[in-house]
Amino acid sequence: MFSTFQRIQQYWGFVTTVTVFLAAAISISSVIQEHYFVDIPRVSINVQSIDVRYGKPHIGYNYKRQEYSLMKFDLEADLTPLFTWNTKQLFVYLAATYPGKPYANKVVVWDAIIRSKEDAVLSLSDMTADYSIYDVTGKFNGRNATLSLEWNAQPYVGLLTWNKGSERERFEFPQPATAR
Amino acid sequence: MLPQLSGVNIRQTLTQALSFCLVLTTTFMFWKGLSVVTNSPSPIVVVLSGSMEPAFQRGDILFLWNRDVRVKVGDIVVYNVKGRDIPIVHRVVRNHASSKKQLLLTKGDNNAMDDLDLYAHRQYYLDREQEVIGSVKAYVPWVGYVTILLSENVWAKYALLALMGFFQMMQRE
Repeated sequence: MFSTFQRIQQYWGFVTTVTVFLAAAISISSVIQEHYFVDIPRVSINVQSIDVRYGKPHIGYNYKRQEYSLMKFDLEADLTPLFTWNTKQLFVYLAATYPGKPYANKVVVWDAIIRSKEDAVLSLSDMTADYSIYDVTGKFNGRNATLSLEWNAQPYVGLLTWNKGSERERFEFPQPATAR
Repeated sequence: MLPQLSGVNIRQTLTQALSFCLVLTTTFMFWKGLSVVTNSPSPIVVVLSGSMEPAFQRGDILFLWNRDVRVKVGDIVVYNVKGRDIPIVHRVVRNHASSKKQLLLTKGDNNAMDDLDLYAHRQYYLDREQEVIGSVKAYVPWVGYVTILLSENVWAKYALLALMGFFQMMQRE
């Protein structure tokens, strides 16, 4: 009885130790691969149209009356090289960055979950943005903004990594169509 | 002979009780130490809902880091809204940052809508400093299921305590 318990304890300890080291090795190897052996993919972003309206934003739970954007865009990117043996999925998002006082802003307008290499070639044209942009102040005042593609690689085990395409697409918020 | 024997037994029992206490305090200090290093009141969390599926499922474990003054769009943060007990793990989709304050909007990857519904009444943004308790840096699947089992079934808690005590008694040396 006594030695049986001791053996179970020893086996259990051994199994957990091996598992922990194996998981660490898998995570570290994939992070090294991503960091040193994968070129950041080329991305092409193009804003097809950007409209600003006044009212309640269509998408989301914010029901305040304010200026909000409606956007259509094109996107080309081949993200297949980002898949390592430890990549469970990529979370890809298109984010608009624009200045302001006192708040500098960054807002996600479109996102996607990519679960396999086969789905990692993005080729979207005249795509409607998932989310509309609205500002803390409620107004855009013709500010300039840039769009960029970023992604978060989520692993089977271990460290999460974030990276982004170097390409930027500039656009300007127009005056609202139905100003009041 | 009898008193001698019982004396040995008391000593042994006390030693075992002491080493059991040592296990408990070591675990506690490890947890608190990790809290200090990561600057998060709860540096390891267990996923409870499916709102970040398929990446994070119920029972998975997340390691948090809270030393960055500003979080970024795309970060997965854990936040505690005032008046709600359960911490929520969701992604930052909106960031409005000034030199003094950072306002965030979050959304679950698997949810169609943003989190405004989960915030307090008439609260439109999360406050980075007040409400975010860390952002996710690492992930381990399944392991946290033990704690879900423990927190949702009272018998499991007592069974584990009994088991720990039993093993402690079995270790004589």
